[in-house]
Amino acid sequence: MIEILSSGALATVQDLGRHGALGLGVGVSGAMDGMALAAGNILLGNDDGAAAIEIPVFPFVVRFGRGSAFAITGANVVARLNGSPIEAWWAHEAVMGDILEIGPPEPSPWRAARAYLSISGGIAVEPVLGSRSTQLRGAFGGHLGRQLRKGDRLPLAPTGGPPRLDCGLVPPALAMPLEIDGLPVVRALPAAEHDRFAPASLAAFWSEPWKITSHSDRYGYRFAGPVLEPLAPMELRSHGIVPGVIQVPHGGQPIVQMRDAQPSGGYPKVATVIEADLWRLGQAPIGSRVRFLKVDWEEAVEALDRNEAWLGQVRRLVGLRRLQERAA
Amino acid sequence: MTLDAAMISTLSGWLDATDIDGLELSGPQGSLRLVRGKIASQPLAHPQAQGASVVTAQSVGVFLDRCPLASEPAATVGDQVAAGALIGCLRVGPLLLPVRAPSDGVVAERLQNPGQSVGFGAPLFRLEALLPGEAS
Amino acid sequence: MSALGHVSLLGTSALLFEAPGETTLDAQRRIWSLAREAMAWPEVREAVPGMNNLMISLRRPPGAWAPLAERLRLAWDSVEPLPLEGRCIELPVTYGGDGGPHMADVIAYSGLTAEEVADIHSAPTYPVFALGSHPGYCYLGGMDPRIATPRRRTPVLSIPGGAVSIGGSQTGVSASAGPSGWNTIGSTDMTFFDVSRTPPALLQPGDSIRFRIRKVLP
Repeated sequence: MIEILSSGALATVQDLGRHGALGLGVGVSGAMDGMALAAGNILLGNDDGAAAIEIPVFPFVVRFGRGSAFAITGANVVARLNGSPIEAWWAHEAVMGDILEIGPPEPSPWRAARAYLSISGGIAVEPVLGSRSTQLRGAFGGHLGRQLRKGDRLPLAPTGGPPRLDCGLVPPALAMPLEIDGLPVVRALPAAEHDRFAPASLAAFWSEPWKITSHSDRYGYRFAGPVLEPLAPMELRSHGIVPGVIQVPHGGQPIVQMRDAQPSGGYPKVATVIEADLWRLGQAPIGSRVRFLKVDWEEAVEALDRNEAWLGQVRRLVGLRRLQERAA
Repeated sequence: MTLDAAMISTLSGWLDATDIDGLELSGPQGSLRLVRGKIASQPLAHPQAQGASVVTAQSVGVFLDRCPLASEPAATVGDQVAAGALIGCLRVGPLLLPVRAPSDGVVAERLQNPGQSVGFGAPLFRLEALLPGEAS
Repeated sequence: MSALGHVSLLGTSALLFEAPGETTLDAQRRIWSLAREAMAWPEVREAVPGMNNLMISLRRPPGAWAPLAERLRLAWDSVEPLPLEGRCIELPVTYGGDGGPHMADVIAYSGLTAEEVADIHSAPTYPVFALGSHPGYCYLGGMDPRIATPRRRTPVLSIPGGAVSIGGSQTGVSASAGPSGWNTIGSTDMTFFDVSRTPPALLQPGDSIRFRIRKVLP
């Protein structure tokens, strides 16, 4: 068990998402930064998709009800275990009663918004429709289908995972940086209504910096920038959508659908952030600016391959390290 | 753990899929060094003859004086460190391995430049023992 | 038999097939059939019907997407419509008032009175074309075009569960509170989704809904 000692505002239990229930109107949810979630799990010897706590508001404080290995990934947060500073992106060991305080992210070496607390064996809430992710709209999954609160006690897997390894990881944001003119970049593929926007609007979409407004959350990021004008008004029939779809409502300011996005929509779609870059956008803080870079299908698939190759390399090296420790 | 031929084959397969040049596994019966392109087994011979005050690399890797997320070096010359304290890192692809102080002491010298690729056993730091009564 | 549909990309996660022509129940019955067929393809994780369209989400993006798009278009040309054989539920609706904050926008756009909007809206039996938006939400076909009203310029951050709303030429009832770009004209009480039920959704494509006027508030 671990107990939440801070307000816990907006923190949720997440795994890699709930697939297969779109046809019931149930969106995928899951970690906004799936790379960080998977990497934290690999460090601990968990399955890539074990459930962790996604933390977007700091400080976040927990008490360990039993000893466990744990790791904090995602943003470069300042964390303390019983008051002593510990490194993010590193596997640590807590004993029963230890108090972990996760402070706000440092703005360097890169800016990121969310931290993930992974625990050996994973957060053992009951899976619902095949996932432990919190479905906020449906109020199920995760811990009681809601955001965490002070006093919540989350179950841990009864036995935990293998012994802790004393090692860490170079975060993918440093290993695979993507910037243009000092601004973070997310790559996108044109979507069905792309060519039905005015050429000047399209030029602005692909070249201007876009600011993430305060009306942005796990459902979607609302961007502010030049007004995007369609060539003619569009009213579409509702259709399935996925996280990453960039809708342009009649006001002309794009909304990128994020992990808690509804699984269908009807606003015109100018483009879709590629699956491989959703973790980058998921970490972009409110108030920051990003650029959209147009890519083609082959580049988008290759980017996904590179993410998977990175995770594969992490898995192999952590596995080797585990063998090395056992041999020593 | 025994390192049989199948295990060595698995390990070298993994190694091929990484961008690192080699790795070292050591145990009570000896050590195994895998280097890209060949496999060499050799008896246990830790180069710790240089004295207990030298902290050596326990793996091949790139020496770093701090974790990539830290803005300050983990330890600088003159720092008093406790046994187990992190004083540097070895980067092996995306993996970070700790360089920890083997005993209480004072960092007397850093023996590698940050970013330097080092082999197994390479000297990284010289630690001097605390004089009696020096501990604060 | 008919014109080929159009296929577009939703990033590398999914393809969207859109049937040609007007939105009809006949076309939707073929969409259900196409969904059933596509679900059996190995690269498809889920086939999700929309309003005369179908999204297929992919387990892993293939090296090229054109062959899959072509397969969708060809399958569309040959599928037989599935029959409409579901149950019908009746929902009492309070139109206008606090539960219908955008009734004024529909009145302004359509030039009708609130009573006329309610009469027109509650007249048909609406077939459930698809589920989507949020758990248990039903997209309904067959709304009278006289009360069609464009989606809102800026989505509303939260509308309550049970909200009856119009978006473009479509209507529906929200199953739980959440953001929406549609115009809310009334409210009803019904549990559309309960994760402890099997199946969790009250309705499925092929079922239908009738709205009954409980009252019309100014």
